[in-house]
Amino acid sequence: MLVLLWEALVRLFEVESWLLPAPTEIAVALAKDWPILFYHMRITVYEALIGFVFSVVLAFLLAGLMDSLPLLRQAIYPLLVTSQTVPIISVAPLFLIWFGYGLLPKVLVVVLVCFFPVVVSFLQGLAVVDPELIDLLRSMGASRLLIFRLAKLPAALPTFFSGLKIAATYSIMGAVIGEWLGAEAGLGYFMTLSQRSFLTARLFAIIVVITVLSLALFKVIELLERALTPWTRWQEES
Amino acid sequence: MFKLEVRDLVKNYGDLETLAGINLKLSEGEFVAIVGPSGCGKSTLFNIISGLHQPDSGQVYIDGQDVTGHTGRVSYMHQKDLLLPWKTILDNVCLPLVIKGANWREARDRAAPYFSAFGLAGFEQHYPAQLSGGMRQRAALLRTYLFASDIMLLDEPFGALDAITRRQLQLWLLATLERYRTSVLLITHDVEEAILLSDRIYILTDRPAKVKEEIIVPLARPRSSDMLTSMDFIALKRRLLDLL
Repeated sequence: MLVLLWEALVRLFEVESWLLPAPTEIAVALAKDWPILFYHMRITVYEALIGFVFSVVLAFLLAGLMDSLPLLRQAIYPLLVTSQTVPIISVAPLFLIWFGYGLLPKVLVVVLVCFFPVVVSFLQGLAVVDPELIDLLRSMGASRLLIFRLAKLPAALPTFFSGLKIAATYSIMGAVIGEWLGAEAGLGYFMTLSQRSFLTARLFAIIVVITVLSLALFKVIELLERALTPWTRWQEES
Repeated sequence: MFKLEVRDLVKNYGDLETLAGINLKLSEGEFVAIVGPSGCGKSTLFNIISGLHQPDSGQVYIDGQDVTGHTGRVSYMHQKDLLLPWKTILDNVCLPLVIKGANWREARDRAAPYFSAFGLAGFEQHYPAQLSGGMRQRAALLRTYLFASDIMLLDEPFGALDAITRRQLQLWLLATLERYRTSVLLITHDVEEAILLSDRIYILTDRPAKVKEEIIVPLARPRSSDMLTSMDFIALKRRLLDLL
């Protein structure tokens, strides 16, 4: 409906296509440039996935450690929050200076945006376990590691996954931002290129690709969540 | 020798005196209830018996052995079922066996035969959220039984259930315990529950808790719901209510 209105208005007022292309023009651009779009998309996805997986592993380890050592939690938590107040856009050029135009600075930007939501959600999840349940398991003689595996980790999974979903959608964006600042390939690089040539339809096509990618990644995490937390379906009912 | 003996247990939390020298005895196969005003430290007592907390002084003996401050010998059951929502009923019940070092397959083989006696047959692969409150408590009881079949500590096990389900479970517990000679220590503030289920009743004072009175329940076994209206039952109920 919205797309139709857009198409109609653009045609009615004969808007210049470099200013606002009609949806049909975007679709044409998408189809025509698909091979090259696909090439850049692969690079962006690659960066985003490396950064995403790396932040999840790192966040998992750090949150686990922080949860078992309260002192560490108190020391690191404020630092984590502060790190989030530093705008990424302002730090990213530094990465460029330090690490050049390669893969590393992009992955770092992705890690920077993904890490925080995962750590915080996981920490929060680990803290929701009923202390009486922990006491019961302790009274049965369960070790701390076993308690973590049997009780804390599964209890944290639903919260952990909400953080993961946020991080997944951020990860593509993070990679694109990384590429804006300096790259030789990738959707962000392709965007800057298209913008300079006023290929607005192509710019929109790239936006479509980014959106679809983020949604797809979100969906994958959601499917993973359903597979790994089958019991939550019953809890919603009761 | 007693199955379980608690000697001169004292416990203070800071300035708060909680237990002021508790003495309890539980014989083999005996069912003993502890009744007292709420907040009088009954749960603290169980935390100490199960080894989670250290008493300031006093000892806990099981089969004549000093187990004060050692976990892993007796387990207790709560008002809350405390089943793991992410495990099936079968795996939940297996938990104590796995914690003791059995692998999951062995544990499942050992736990499965008890399901019909505990009224859980057919629900092995269900998740706790799919079961009624009464069934969840039965599963929690089976888990407690599988942890240590000789002694069970029950901390208001039916306290969160509605009156009808509670009575059903009390009668069911009576019948089930006829088959398994388990020593049971039950915390409750339901006087009828204490009389119906137990051989002996300890009445505790307000905080700091001490044993105020020890009463032997004169009802014969096996017990039935008819006894709830017998003269002996009512006389004992009146006496208990006066003491509380």
